[in-house]
Amino acid sequence: MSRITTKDLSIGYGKHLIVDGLELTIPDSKITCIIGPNGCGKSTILKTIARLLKPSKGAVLLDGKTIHHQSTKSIAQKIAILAQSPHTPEEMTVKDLVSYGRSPYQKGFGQLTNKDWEMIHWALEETNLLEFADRFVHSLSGGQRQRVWIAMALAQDTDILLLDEPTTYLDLAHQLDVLQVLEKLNKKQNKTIVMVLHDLNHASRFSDYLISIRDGKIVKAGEPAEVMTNQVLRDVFDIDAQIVEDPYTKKPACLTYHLL
Amino acid sequence: MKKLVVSTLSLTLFLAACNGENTVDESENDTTEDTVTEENKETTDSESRVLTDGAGQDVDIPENPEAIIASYLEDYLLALDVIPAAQWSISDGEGVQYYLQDDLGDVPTIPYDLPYEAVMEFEPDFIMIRDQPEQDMIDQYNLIAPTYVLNASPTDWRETMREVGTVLDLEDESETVIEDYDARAQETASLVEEQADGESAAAIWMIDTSLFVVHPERSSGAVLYGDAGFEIPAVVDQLSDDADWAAVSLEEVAEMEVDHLFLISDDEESSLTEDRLWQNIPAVQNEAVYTFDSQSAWLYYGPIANEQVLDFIDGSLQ
Amino acid sequence: MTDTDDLSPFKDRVFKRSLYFFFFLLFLLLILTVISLGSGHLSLSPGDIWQTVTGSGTEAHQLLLFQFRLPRIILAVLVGIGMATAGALFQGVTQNGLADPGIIGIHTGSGFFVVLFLYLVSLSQDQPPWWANIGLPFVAFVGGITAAILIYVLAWKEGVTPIRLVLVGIGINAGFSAAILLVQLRMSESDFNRAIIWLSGSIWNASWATVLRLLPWILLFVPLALYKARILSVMQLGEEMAVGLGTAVEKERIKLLIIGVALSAASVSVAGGVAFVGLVAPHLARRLVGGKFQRMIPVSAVIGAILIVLSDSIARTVLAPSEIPVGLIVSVIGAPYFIYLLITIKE
Repeated sequence: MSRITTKDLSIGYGKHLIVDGLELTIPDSKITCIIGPNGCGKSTILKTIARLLKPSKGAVLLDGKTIHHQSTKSIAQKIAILAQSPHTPEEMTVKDLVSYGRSPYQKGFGQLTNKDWEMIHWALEETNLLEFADRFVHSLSGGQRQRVWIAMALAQDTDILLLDEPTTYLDLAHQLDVLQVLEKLNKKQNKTIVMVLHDLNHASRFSDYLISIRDGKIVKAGEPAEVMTNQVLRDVFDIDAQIVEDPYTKKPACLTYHLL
Repeated sequence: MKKLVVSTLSLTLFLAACNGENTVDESENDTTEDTVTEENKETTDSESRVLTDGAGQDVDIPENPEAIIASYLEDYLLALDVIPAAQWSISDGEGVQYYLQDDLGDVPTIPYDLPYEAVMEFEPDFIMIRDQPEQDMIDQYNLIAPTYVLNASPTDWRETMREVGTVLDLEDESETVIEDYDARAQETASLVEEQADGESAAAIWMIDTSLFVVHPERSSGAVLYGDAGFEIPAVVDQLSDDADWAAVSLEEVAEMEVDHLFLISDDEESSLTEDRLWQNIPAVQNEAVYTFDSQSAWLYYGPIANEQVLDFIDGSLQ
Repeated sequence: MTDTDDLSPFKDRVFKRSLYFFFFLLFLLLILTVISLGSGHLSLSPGDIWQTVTGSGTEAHQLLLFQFRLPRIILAVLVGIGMATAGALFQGVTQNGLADPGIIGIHTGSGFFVVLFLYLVSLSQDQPPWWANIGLPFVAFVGGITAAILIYVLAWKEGVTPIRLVLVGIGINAGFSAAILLVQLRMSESDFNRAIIWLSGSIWNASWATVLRLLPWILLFVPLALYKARILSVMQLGEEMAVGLGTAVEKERIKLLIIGVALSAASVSVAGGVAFVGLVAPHLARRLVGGKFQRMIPVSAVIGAILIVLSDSIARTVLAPSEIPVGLIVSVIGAPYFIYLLITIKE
C-alpha cells in the first residue's frame, strides 16, 4: 500500500490537457525519479502531487484521501516540497530560513519552541550547514544554498519530500553533494523522496524507482534497470543510447547517445 | 553599532539646539505668564453670561475679558475700541492686515491657523473664532480659554458686527458703529448721485496677469454697490459665484463697459493695461481708473475697512 | 538529537541581537519623547517637566504638557506605528520593497473618501453629527480598500511585477489627488485650507480625542499583524513554497491586505497624508534585524514612531510659532530614500 497514488489524474486547462488519465503509485521509503523530455509534464505532475496545482479531473490520494480536500497545513506536516527556483528573501540568515520549515506546526505568534530548535539544529547538522547557521543565505554558493532549502524541508519533519530539479544550476560536484545528502536521508530516515531530474545518469544512480514520462503519459515505470534501456529511452527521448553498467554503482548508465 | 550611537547623539544635540533657540525668545513672555493664570481663575469665579455659539455650544462669556484673541475679527474689535491680545498674520508674521496697522501696530502677531501653543503664549481669557473649525479643535481651545465660534456669516459684516457686540456685551456700541457707518455711507452716496448718477463701477483685483472681480454683495463690493450706489455691471452679476473675488477674463472686463474702475494692483505697469481691449474700456478712456495697492482696505471686511473704501471712493471722484 | 540545554547558545544569537536593537530603539524613542515634550513654541525646561509630572508645576505648564504636548506625541507614536506596520505588511504581501501605502495611493484613496465625507457632511447639516469624527477611520478604510482593489485590478497582468505595481500605484495616487482637488474646489475657503493642511500630513491639532479615535485601531490591528507575521515571512519564499509550507496563500493575502489597509487608513484619518514612513521604516528594520517579519515588524513599528516624533519635533520648532506639516518633514527624509531604492532595485 503506497501513501501517494493518483487516480485518473488529468491536469490542464479546458481541452488542452497536459496530463490525461494518469495512474501513478509512488513507492514508500524509496527514492523515485521522474524523467522525460522538456514539456512532457513531469514538473506539472510533481506540483499536482504537492497540491500546488489543481487537477482538472481525477485525484491525488494521500493515505487514501483526496489531497485537494485536505487542509493545506495538515498536508504540510506530511509532504515537503522544494520548488525549482525558490525566491530567497534578502537579509535572511540560514537559521531564519530553515526555521520556516517549522511553520506547519506553528500556532499563535510563531515563537519557536524547543522542539522547533531541535529540529532546526538537526536539519542543519544533516546538511552540514551548522557552521553557516548565522550567515546570510545570499552570501552562500549555489550548492550551499540548495542544501539550505533541503534543510528547510527537513525541518518540516515530513515523511515525504518532493523536489523539482534540485540540481539545476549547480556544478558537477555540488550536484552530487546534494543528491548524496538526499540519499543519506532516504537511507537513514526512511524518507520517501520524489524528484524531477534532468540528468539520466543521476536519476538512474540515485533512484530506486524511475518513472519515464512522455506527453503526460507513463512510458515505463520500474527499477532503473527496467527503465534505463535503449528501447525506453528511444520511446521517451527519441535517442539511440548506449547503456552500460556504471563501474562504481553497478547501475545502468548512458555512456553516449545520438539522435534518431 | 558605533554609527548608531553617534547618530543618536547628533540627533539629540540637534533637537536640543532647536530647543535652545526658543528658550531665548520665550524668556520675554515668561514674566506675564503667571499673573494671567491667576486672572483666569478670577474670571471663572465671577458671574458670566451664557451664549450659544455657531458650533451649537453654550459658551460662558467672561465679563470684561482683557486678553482677547479674535483672529481676522480685529476690524470689528477696533471699531468697538477693543484692542486684541494678538493679531492675525500669515507667513510667519510677515503678512498682516496693513490697513489696520495704525491701531494694531503694537499688537503682536499670531499665525492665522492659531496653533495651540501660540494661543497659549498670549494667555487669552477669551477666544473668538470666525470660521467654524473641527469640534476637536474647539475643545482644545476651550481648555485654554472660553471659545466662541461666530454664528454670523463671515460675508455679512453688519451681522458679524452685531454678534461681536453682543458677545462682548457692547451691543449699544456696535449699533452706534453701524449707524455711524450708514451715516458716513450716505455722504458718499450723495456724492456718487451728484457726480456719477447712474454710472457703473467695478473693483478689479489684478495679480500678475490674473483678474478678479469683487462679489456685488461682499467685502468692498457691498460698499461699492450697496452703500455708495454705483450700478452693477451685468457681467459682475452673472459671474458672482460663491467666492468673494471671482476670476474674470480681460474680455469679460471689457464687456462690462464700466464707467469707473477701481483697480487693486501692486504693479505699476502690466501687459494687460497695454491691451487694446483694456484701452477700449470706457473708464480707461475717461481716465476714471483709480489704482490702489492690495494691502489697502478693498480686500477686507468690517466697518473700518468699509469706511476706508468709502474714503477711497470720495477721493477718486473728487 | 541534541540536548535542549546545548541548544540555547545556538538559538539565542539572532534573537538576542534583535531584542537588543528593539530595546535600543525603544530607548531612543523614549529620549526623543522627552526632548519633544520640552520642545515647542513655549519653553519647558527638564525641571519644569519634572515638576509638572510630579504634580507641583504651574497650571499653565500642566495644561501645556498634559493637554497639548502629550496627546500630540502619543498620536505621533501611534501614527508612526500604524504607518510603519502597514508599510511592512504591504511590502510583504506584494513582495515589493517599494509598496508604501503612501506612495501607491492607499493614503490618497483614504484621503479622498475622508474629504468627500467631510464635504457631504458639511452640505447636509449645519452641525456635523456626533459620529462624524469616530466614523472617519471607517470612511478612510473604505477608501483605502477601494484604492487597493483598483491598483490590483489595473496592475494585474499575469501577476504583478514590483515596478508595475508602483507605477500603477503612483497613477492611482495622482488620480485620487485630482479627485480630492475637485472636491476641495467646491468647499468653502476655510474648509479648503483645512483640507490642504490635513492632506499634507499634520498632527498639530492633536488632542486626547484624536488619540482615542486611533488607539482602538492600533490596539486591534497591530497585534493581528504580529499574529500574521510568520505567514508573511513564509510568503516571501514565493507562492509555491508558501503553499508547500502549509499556507493558504490566497486567503491569507486578502486578510493581510485588509489589516494593512486598516492600519494605514486609520492613521491617515487622523494625521493626513504622511508618505514614506511605510517605506523607510520597514527597510531600515530589515537592515537591522533581517527579513523575518516576527522580528522586523516590531522594530519597524518603533522606527516609524521615532520618525514621526522626530519629524514632528522639527515641524513645530523650526518655524515656531508657525508649524510645518509633519508630512513635509517626513518627505524631506523619505523622498531621497525612495529614489535611492528606485535606482538600486533589482528586477
